Amino acid sequence: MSLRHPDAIGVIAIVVLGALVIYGGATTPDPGFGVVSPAAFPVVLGVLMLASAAWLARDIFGAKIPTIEPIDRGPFFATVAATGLYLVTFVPLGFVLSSLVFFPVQSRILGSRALVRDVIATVVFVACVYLLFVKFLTIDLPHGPLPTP
Amino acid sequence: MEVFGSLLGGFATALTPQNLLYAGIGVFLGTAIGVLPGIGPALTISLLLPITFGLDAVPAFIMFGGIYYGAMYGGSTTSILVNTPGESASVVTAIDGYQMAKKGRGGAALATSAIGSFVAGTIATFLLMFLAVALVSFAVKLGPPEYFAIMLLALAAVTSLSGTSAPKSFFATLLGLALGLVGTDNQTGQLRLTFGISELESGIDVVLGAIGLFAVGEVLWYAATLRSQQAEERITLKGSIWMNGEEFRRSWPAWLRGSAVGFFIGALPGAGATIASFISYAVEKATARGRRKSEFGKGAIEGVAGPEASNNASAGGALVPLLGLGIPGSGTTAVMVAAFQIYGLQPGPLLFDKRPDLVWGLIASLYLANAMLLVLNLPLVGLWVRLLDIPKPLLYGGILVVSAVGVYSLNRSATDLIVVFVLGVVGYLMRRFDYPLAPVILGIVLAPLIDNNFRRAMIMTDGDVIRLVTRPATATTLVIALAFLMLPFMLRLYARRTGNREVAELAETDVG
Repeated sequence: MSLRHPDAIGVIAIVVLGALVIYGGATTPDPGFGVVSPAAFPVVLGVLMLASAAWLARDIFGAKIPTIEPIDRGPFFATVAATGLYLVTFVPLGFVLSSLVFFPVQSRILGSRALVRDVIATVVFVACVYLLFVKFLTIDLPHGPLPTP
Repeated sequence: MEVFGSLLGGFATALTPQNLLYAGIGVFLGTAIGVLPGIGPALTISLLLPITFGLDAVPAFIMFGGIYYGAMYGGSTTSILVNTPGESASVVTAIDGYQMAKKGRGGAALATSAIGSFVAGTIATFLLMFLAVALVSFAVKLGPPEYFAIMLLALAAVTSLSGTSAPKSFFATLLGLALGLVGTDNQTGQLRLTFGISELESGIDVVLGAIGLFAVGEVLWYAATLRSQQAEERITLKGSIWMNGEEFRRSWPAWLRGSAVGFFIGALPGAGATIASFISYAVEKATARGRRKSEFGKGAIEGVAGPEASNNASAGGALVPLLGLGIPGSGTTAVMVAAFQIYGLQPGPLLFDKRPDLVWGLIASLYLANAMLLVLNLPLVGLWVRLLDIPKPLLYGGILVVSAVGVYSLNRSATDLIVVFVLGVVGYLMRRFDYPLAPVILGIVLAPLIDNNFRRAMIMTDGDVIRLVTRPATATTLVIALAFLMLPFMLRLYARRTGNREVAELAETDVG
């Protein structure tokens, strides 16, 4: 297996995950009743993951290294960061504040340059989602520092 | 006759003004979201799940019937007019549909698609009633060993038919199963695979899986390929939205063939709408004669009529194992299981006894949803196309906001939002490196069911695995599962030996 093959990193990731699942399964306490321990299924899954890693490694062993399209690093990593931040701040900042900040920022990351349009679209969209969920469907959304509606 | 009596009861439930309204809203929203490129039926249902939270079970499921069929239909419009399939099952439609639109017959392509979907959806719902009822009387005789084997069959089928690499599909299934085991073991109360994180004790919901892998993953995919995104070549709809006499005569046999192919392929675990549409296209091409055969790829109406009919018929077929056995056979029906669970219900044979109003109301709503789709889709085609005018940056931002709201409203949990983010990154990486996603979703739903049934079966056989796997029904099912696992190898071997391109394409098709 060549480490330059794009799937080599996948093999390593599957081995790590398989080991983690085996560890998680093996450390599950067995209360002693029943024929099969609750640890059995996760351990079997972990072992099969290791087998699938070996299978994948065998498939890419000596195989021609395929070309893989490079990604647009800027927009990709900015989207990962913005999405992560949005989902983490969704509860403490509340739906309205976090969405009002996230939506235009994310649009800009994805190439929009019409700031005024994006801000108007953000306000309208967030208001519609809020009305639909909170007022019509009576589903509580986090309100953050804003007063409770 | 009992079936028709129950169906009449279902119509009595579904035909109230309030439930008709919910069915209409479901059809409209399902189509509107399904039209958008990159959003398939599983994600459409996941995103729209929260809007049913405030409803009772019956209207919620009537709305779901509409969303389900609407989402299945939605992809065809973009395939025909923009050459951008909204979901994988519409890929085949784009081949001849877009060519027809370029020749000024876009209206006829949309018409044959809409009417074919109606015909197929109605036939499939009719067959669903009888097959699901027959399956129920069979399913009540099954025990844990048989259920365990059937679930393995579903996993084997979806693993063998997904993706282009067997070890990657196999891993995707295992990943889904591992995610499905996270949380409290319901037989012993022990925590499994939570690694000390108390927020994971209640497990990972399949809706989190669908939204993370499909919605967040799709947005990350779009961001990562931003520069290579090509401008859409949209065809403006010209002339009448109707077929001429010859087009109609060529369409109806294709609708019937597509309905038959779609329903039976859809009812098989793992083989969803994508496989059905590919097979239907191959059937249409094989049955065409003379000049018509050479039209395929250049705008043959059968190439739209058959796959579109099979696409919708497979949606009805996929409900057979779900309603009859309680076992989902695809990513989309796995998300439907989550919808049942939200109402404390388990789809399967007992549901027909416990909640006939709900089951028959749902089946009746499928007939109504089909009729509504026919009435709505052609007049509203301009609206569906205009949805594609939404600037992509706003569309993807909106998907993330709706995803966050949907995830939060499930359990009011901040941890769920983080889980979805992590699954989104995983989904992106899987897509980048060609790992199929459908087996992950199915694995999340089936893991606890497989585990429970296996352990109960082992109690029945006093821990003897040989006794378990040699019960006649279990052994037969396991042999079929093994045959499914061998299927892609056999198809590739056959394609290599005969040089048959359609079979080669089928072997490489990803149902996810």
